[in-house]
Amino acid sequence: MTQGSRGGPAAWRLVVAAWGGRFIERFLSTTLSSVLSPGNVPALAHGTRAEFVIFTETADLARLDAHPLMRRLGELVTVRTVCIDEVGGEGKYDRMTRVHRLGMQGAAEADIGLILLTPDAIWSDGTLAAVRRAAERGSRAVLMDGPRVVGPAFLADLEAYRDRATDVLAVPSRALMRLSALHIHPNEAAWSWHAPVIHDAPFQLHWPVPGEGMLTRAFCMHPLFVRPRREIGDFKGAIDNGLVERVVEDFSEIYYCRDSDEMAVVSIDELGFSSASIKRTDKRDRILRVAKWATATATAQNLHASLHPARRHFAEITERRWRTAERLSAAHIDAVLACRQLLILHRTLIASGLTSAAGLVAFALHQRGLTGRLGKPGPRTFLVPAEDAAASWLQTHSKSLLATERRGDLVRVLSNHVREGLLTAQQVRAEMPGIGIVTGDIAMDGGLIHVVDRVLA
Amino acid sequence: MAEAKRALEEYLTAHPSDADAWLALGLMAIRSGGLAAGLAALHRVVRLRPMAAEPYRELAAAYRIADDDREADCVRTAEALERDQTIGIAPVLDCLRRGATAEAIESGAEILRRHPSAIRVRYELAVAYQAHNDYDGVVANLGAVVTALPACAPACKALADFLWARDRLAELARSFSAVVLRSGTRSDGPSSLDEVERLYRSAIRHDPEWAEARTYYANVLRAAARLDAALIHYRAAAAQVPEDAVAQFNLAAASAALGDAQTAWNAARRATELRPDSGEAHELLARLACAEGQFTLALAHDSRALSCARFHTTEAFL
Repeated sequence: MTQGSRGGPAAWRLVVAAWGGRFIERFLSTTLSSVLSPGNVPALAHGTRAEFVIFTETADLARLDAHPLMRRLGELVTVRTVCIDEVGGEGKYDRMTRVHRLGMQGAAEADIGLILLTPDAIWSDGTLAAVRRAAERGSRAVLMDGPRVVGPAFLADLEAYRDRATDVLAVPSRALMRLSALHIHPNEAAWSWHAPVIHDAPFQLHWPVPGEGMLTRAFCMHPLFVRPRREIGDFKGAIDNGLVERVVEDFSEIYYCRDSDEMAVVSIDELGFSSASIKRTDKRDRILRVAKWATATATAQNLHASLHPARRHFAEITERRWRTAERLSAAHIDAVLACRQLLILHRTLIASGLTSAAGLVAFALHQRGLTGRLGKPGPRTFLVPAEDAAASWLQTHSKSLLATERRGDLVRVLSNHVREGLLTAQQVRAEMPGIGIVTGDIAMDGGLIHVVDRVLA
Repeated sequence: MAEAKRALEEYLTAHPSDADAWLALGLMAIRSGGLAAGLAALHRVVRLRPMAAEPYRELAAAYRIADDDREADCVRTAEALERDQTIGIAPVLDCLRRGATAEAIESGAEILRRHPSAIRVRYELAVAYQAHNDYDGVVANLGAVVTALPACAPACKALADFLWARDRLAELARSFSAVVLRSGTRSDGPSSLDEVERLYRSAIRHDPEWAEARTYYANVLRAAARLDAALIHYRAAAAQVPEDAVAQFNLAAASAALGDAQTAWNAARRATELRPDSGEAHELLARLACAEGQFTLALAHDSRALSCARFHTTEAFL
């Protein structure tokens, strides 16, 4: 009996779900062809127990079994097909989640490393070998993602990398990234920070590095590998949003792929009729929209993920240029996260009846360019004027606040009410003895609010 | 007659998708001298049953009374559809009813081999290709329908919608590729703008009461920086569907951009009354209030805008 690799899991289980003629065909010609390349399943399974579990419907079994690549797969790992005819679900995504839950069963007890594959993607040669290395270094999850491309033309270009004799696709990462840039899906292009539009769900954001590739920061990434310590049977939602928190004890156990040379994937899609999800935008509006999305949707792990840039490149890296892109993207993400904090503050103020102060925050964000001057995110203390104090101050200062030539005044006044770090009411009293605290220590996500008796103009 | 007409109108308020009732109302209105109301009702029938010959026949008769040159298009459309009735398309419809779109495409292709000009099959194939996210399939089949049925406003509008969306998406992707690959091919793609405009104009000509067609056409005009022309259609759409928050917001945004603050204010207020969670409408009201020196009001609307869920937007890329 073979043993698990040192530091890595005792065994590997590769899981994929595919059903219906179109998806089976896509799975065979893309995912399966590419994971059979030398640096993928053969390298992952070398000297280690591994099984490949395919969840499918009875009607698709014959087509799967007859394909020559399935025989090749069977020579490398144990292949198991599981019929999911009886697995219900409200729609295909819910069904997919149920199937993934089935695929994860027993993994914790047997110390199985799960490789979660999608049925319509191309994995660069060497990706699974890199996953194995990360697992052997102690990572409990490997998160990565890749650009989405429009199918037919991309697939035609990809054929250049198919071995005619074996049908295996061994695609070097840089070739894959170049093809993805050439056949990029419009939704992916809408995630570019410099595009004049934005997608409703900004899971990822891209900063092009012309001639070399693009830097990406993603909130949601695909968990290509998870190694759970305990069973995660009640996991809900899609695997790229909520699963990883259930697997790791702290975020340091997550390995975020930083460079496409190490791991790369491209998912294949149709052009689709999704243009209604793409809206016009500008820089200020983009920060606000991404922040709104992050406030409503992003988990703590999603926010952590956005701090890890990934280089997706098809050419040799010019380090200076990528560092510049990293700095720029970090500043943008900082603005988004700081804006998210103000949205949470605004929500808390409304709930506490502090409508004048809430209005000032909203006005500054919408009309005074506050999104562009937010600085780094972090724990903050907000000294918020009591409603009567704020309302009376507004009465006397509305004219000057409306004057566009004095647009900086409001931002300056607002910044007087913010202290870096978390200061209790007691600490504020000690530091600022002239200020009366009406209500202290109101907790909010990432901050602390004290209601004070005046406007700190 | 008047009582029956009232009863039908009341019925249609509750059952706006009943094509037979719209047809009855249209004929009743025309017979009692209400040509405009009759035409509007017949246009509704076409929207609900674009592949039925009868409403085009009735429209042709009505246009004849009015000496309107749209009669010729309606006659041609009705004749084409009457000829088409001899071609059986039940297998395709059956597949679509079962959601078996791949089978529908195969079945439709088989019918087209025998009857290359089968129009209703083309229309159903466009529906099937849409389910497959296949723009080319949709565009090719709808193109054939539009050519054969010049008075079919729904086909004209649908084709314009798809061409416009496809162009915009392709342009977005092309622009991204050009920057990343530094290939300098930023805008070398085909543009269907002239064709899109022609199709929307045709749809509006044959169904002038269709607010959605006017709105989409106005969006195209706005994107081409022809805001004055867009405003005409946004205004017409808002008048046609006064209870629609999106139509009111579009009117407000275009009016504000053209400096008509009063119309913008009224329409944006209406939009927020109809849809209190319209973030964009609140943001626009805040800007307008600000311009009028009404600071407290501006703060209130900005605050509402910020509280609205993340994307209650009417600023669709389309």
